[in-house]
Amino acid sequence: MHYVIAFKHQVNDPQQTVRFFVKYLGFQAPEKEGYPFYVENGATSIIFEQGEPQTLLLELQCNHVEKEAQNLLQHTDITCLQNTQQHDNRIECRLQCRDNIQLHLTKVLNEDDLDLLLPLPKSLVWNEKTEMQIRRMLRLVPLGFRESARQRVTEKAEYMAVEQGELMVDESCAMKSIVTITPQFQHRALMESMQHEGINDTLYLDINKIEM
Amino acid sequence: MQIIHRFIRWIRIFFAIRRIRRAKSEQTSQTAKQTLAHLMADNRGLTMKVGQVMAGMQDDNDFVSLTRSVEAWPLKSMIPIMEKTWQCNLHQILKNIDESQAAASLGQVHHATLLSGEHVAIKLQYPDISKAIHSEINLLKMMPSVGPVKRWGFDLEAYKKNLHQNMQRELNYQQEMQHQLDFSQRVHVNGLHIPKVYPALSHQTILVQEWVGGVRLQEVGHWPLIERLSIARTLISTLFQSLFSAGLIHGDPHPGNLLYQRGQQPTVTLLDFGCMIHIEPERRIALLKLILSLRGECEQPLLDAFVALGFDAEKLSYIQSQLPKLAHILFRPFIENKACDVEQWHPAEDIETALGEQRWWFRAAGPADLFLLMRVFQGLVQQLHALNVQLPWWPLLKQSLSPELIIQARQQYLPTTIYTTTHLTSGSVRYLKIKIHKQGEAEQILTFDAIAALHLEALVPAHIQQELHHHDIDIKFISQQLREQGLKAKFLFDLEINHNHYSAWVK
Repeated sequence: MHYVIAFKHQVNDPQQTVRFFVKYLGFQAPEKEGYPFYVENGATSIIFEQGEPQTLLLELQCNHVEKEAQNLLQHTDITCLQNTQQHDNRIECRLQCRDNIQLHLTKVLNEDDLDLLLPLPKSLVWNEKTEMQIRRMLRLVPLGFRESARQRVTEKAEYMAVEQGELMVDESCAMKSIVTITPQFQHRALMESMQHEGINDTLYLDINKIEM
Repeated sequence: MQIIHRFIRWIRIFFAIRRIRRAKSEQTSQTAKQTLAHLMADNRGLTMKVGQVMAGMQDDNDFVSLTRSVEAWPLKSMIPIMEKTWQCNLHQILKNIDESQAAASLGQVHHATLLSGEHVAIKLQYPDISKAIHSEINLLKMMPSVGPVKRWGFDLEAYKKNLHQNMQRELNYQQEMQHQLDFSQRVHVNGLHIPKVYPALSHQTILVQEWVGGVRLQEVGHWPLIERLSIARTLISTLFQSLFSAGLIHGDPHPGNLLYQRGQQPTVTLLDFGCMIHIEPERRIALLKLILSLRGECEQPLLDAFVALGFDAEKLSYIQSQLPKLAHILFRPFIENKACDVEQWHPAEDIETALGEQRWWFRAAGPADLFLLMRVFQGLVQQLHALNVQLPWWPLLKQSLSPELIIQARQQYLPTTIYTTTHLTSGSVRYLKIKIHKQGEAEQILTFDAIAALHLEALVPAHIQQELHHHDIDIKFISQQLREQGLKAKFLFDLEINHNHYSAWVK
């Protein structure tokens, strides 16, 4: 679902605030009939009105919190409210802007940022060493696809194990499974990853088909 | 006198069931369930059997008392029965015998030691239980066809006959012994143990078999994963091999009939072979072919496969377009190439969502003996649920069968179904619409396959049929006319009664 959040906010000087949003926060200020002080960025629309200023807290998600904070702090209108800090799975920096506007620059940390190896969604018993190898090798998969890859590699390996009459997943089933779900163009990286894990890649990968 | 006594007991059970259905709070429902369980346990015989069906395979509900021990008859009252049957003094056969710790619906089990030192389980039928069962069966035969049974044309007689035959089989311990011997010869699964029987000591009302120890399913739920997986594999493979290869299925897999033992290879002991399901080779092949076609491994029109399984072709033809969806729901664990999460598989609910009221056509079309088979699958699912494990079903099915059987199923030709009603439909007629508009309520329009108009009496509730009849609209006659003249687009009836509006038409 795509949606836009729109709200009204009172400030001392709407014109100045509109300029601030355009100049520092990348908003646009298109003309909108009936709303002289209007900004939007595709996801959020704000209509400013003159009045008693109220606190406005905006959370801006970015990849490099510290760097973005330093850039913003170069402007005289912005001061630091709270230095960059890490809370559990997020990094946050709080900035104070004109007209009681607070900016919270945040980055939600993913499994790579947190250096986590998430568990496999197992149904069978896995050889402990093999499971850890697969968990590390899954780091090859881009984050956006990793959850699905984790699911598929586990299902496939367990299916192969049961097909062979086993209830424990060993190296052979696990490696054959990860080879099956990995696109051909990534087999070279997979091969290196297997070698890095001390696995005999020639048992599972056809060296002749790997693009060198 | 006995029939009156048991009739009164059934009436009390009926009211207990009604109390459960009408209970407004969980506490009332729980109390009503406990009352019902006690009533059933107290009655033994058929009512207790019904209770065991209600207990299913769960080892932790109110009906579990029916699958565990109910109060057993004292040993001293059973000794004369054994001595009469064996025609000798008990001490000429047994070194010792204990009081029964396990009473069931039709009999009770005593642990004993033979003179040879072998430990045995002696299953003794309750005196007069046979007469009681026959009385109850006679009562059941009087059960009228009402509700969905009548509306959708369930073959109630076939169900009654099936139940009667099953109960007769269960009362014959010699036949049970034969089943046990057959099963142990034809089903060989790692981890499955079938107790050895003693034919020389077994009779119509006494069955002597090896004494086997073990624990119940509830306890197995706490075992390590690898042992639970092994138990699950044994249970799944046993069902698959007995169904597809042997055609002889243990039809009563309630918790009281299974014992589990730990070890290098955890063991499942299957007890009580009184209720067995026989599936003929043609139907087994049809079922296997149906699964193969759903997996895309061969081509097979679903209607023909279901008909070969014993389903009623005409009733199925009303929902023919829905069969692929229905089959995918029913056979999902066989189709998916991954571990089956039984927690996520709810065929009854999914079929109700997909087919709505039309699901009754499917249920009514099914042969009576498949009810028992469905119960066996339901039991397996509940066991897997209790074990808290997931395994892929297809590789286990493949391992349970010979490759030749799979090839045979793939190549088997299943006859094309000729629907008896095809000639009645014209290509332009597709739907039967029934509109009900009650005063103060939103208008409802129900849509069915046009063919359903040939059996309006199955669709229209009895009280509305009566109302229509009062206004000279006889829907049986309307359906009869359609059957004789063929389906054409037309209004069937249009009537207003007390500001409620009912109409039906074919378009």
